[in-house]
Amino acid sequence: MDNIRRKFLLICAYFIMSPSLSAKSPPTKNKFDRVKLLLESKSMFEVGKEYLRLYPSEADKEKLFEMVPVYKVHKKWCVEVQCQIKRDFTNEDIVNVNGWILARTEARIAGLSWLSYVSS
Amino acid sequence: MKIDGREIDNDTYLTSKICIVGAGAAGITLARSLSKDNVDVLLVESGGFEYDDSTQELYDGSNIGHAGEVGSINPTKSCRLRFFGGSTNHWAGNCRQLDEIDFQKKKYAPGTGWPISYDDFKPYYIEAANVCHIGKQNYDPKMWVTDETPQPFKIKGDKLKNTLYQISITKFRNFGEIYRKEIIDSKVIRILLYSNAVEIIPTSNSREIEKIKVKTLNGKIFYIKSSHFVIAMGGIENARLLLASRTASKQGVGNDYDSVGRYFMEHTHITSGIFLPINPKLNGSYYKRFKIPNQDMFVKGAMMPLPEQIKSREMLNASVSLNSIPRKSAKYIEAELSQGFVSTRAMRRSITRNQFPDDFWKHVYNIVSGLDDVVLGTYGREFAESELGNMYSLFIHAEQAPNRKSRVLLTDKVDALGMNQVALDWQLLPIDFKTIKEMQMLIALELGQSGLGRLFLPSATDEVWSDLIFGGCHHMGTTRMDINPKLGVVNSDARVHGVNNLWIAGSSIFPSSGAANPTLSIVAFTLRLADDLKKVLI
Repeated sequence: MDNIRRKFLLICAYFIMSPSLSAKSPPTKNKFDRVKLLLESKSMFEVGKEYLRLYPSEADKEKLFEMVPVYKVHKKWCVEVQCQIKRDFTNEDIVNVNGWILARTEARIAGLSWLSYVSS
Repeated sequence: MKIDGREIDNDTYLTSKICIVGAGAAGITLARSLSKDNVDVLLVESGGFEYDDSTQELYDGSNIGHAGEVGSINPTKSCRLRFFGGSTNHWAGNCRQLDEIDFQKKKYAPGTGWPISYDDFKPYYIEAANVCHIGKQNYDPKMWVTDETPQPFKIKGDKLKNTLYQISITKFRNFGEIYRKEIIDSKVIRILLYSNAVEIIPTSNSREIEKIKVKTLNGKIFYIKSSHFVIAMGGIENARLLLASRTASKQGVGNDYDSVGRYFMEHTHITSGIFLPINPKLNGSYYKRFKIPNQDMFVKGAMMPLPEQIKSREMLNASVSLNSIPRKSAKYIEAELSQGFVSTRAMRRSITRNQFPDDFWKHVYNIVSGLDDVVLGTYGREFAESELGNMYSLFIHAEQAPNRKSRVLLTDKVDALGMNQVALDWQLLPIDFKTIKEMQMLIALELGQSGLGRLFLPSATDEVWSDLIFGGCHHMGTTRMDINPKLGVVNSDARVHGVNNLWIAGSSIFPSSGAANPTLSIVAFTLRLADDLKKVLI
């Protein structure tokens, strides 16, 4: 199970670390990689599904899109997400999902990916 | 000079200016300090210079409280060593001062704080560090960390701080060995070996101690008369001797308000939670013991909560270190937290105590329905692959709140000298669990906000957490310090309330334990006591 968790963290880290990737990387490639990682991640789905079970009022794709605008995948967004995740921990806006203490924002990203998956 | 108590004639009276009972960290420190000012000291020790079973057996007792103390069934014997040097003979060497916040009263935890200020006490740590051979004290990682040492995590630091424990190295941590020659050669210290203080006998008005009754295992009985007495027998035995001294009062000496033996404290230790770094190469070795290059010094890194966090969360002090765990053993840690495995432990504990388990059928159901976890928890670690991964378990070491119901008491069973044995009834309060949970949360928040990783905290009931808490042979509080005689056994000078010439040294006087290991503070408080005693002895 820890490998799945690690993958989830790596995905989060990927988002967080994206701004520091080489500026020469084609933006489309970055975007594609992120989507691919999201879609392939069982862990992301597992966390997202559980998060939405715990917070059913957020089980609405549009609502989550507003909270976490993932369609705006660009450098600025990554910086914002990185900051927001850290801010969540600073402000104790955290959730316990299957034993993992996560920032609300990353749990919402996971929830959104789950909703996107089941509705696709 | 050394004297063998077994060779002293019956009914002899030995005399001295001051009699110190117990030659452990406190007793040896006090004797050495007084001897520097040529004070005539009689230092009384139950054992000899080496371990022997028959003397150790005098520590035999029972455990009727929390089962997690080291030694479980018989912690009063397993935790301590009864020969010259006392329990420093198996001391791990971890040294750290109490923090300033440990001296402060916390409204949400009655009984915490000290009746003396941190600033008044702090100077004694300087000499204590020399006694414990840790040299210059500094708990700031910057003082020790170089390019050649493990590095602390780069944390934001508004919730936890990076700090460390200094470790007295093996060859210097056994007081019985390093100070033996000095004490034997001293012209003013007489070390009386194989001599057991079995009763403190007050004068008729109980305001002074007249003498101490001593017995040996070969049947000798004699007395020590002194103008000043200091009991330095350890966190359990100090209370035992006071309670067993019933010539003047059935309640024992210094026990007018039934406080002796109460408020027993330990540090709560628990391995809980897994830290999974985002960066697979993140190295947590700083939070384990490591050597400082080119110095005779080891340190162990830790993270501790900032004082404002302790206050705002209404928790007590705590520290966390990290243990690298085999990646594949994570599932075994989860198994050990399952109801099935916890029931197995409860059943095993009852059987070893010859008791029929409470909730027998509930345990049977838990074991049968969680058999996979029981097997994994029982045998899993044996077969876990030894692959070291960058995953860490959290080792939390926390302060325990003073609790009047947590206590040491005498039983009807007697030892070979006819002295009542003790039962240990270690009990925890809700704030002790809260402290551990708040500490876990602080770690998750600090590591998360610092972008280092995430924490996995298996869901578990309080019963499960309780079962996982264990002690560290840090026995404290049984003759606690308080200026109010109704709330404490000794005053702020460590003198027993209502008795003019009896003092207590050691961790039994601690009214608040803090999170730091106690030995360095025991030595520091003893040096403070030595200064006070010199004022009346010289």
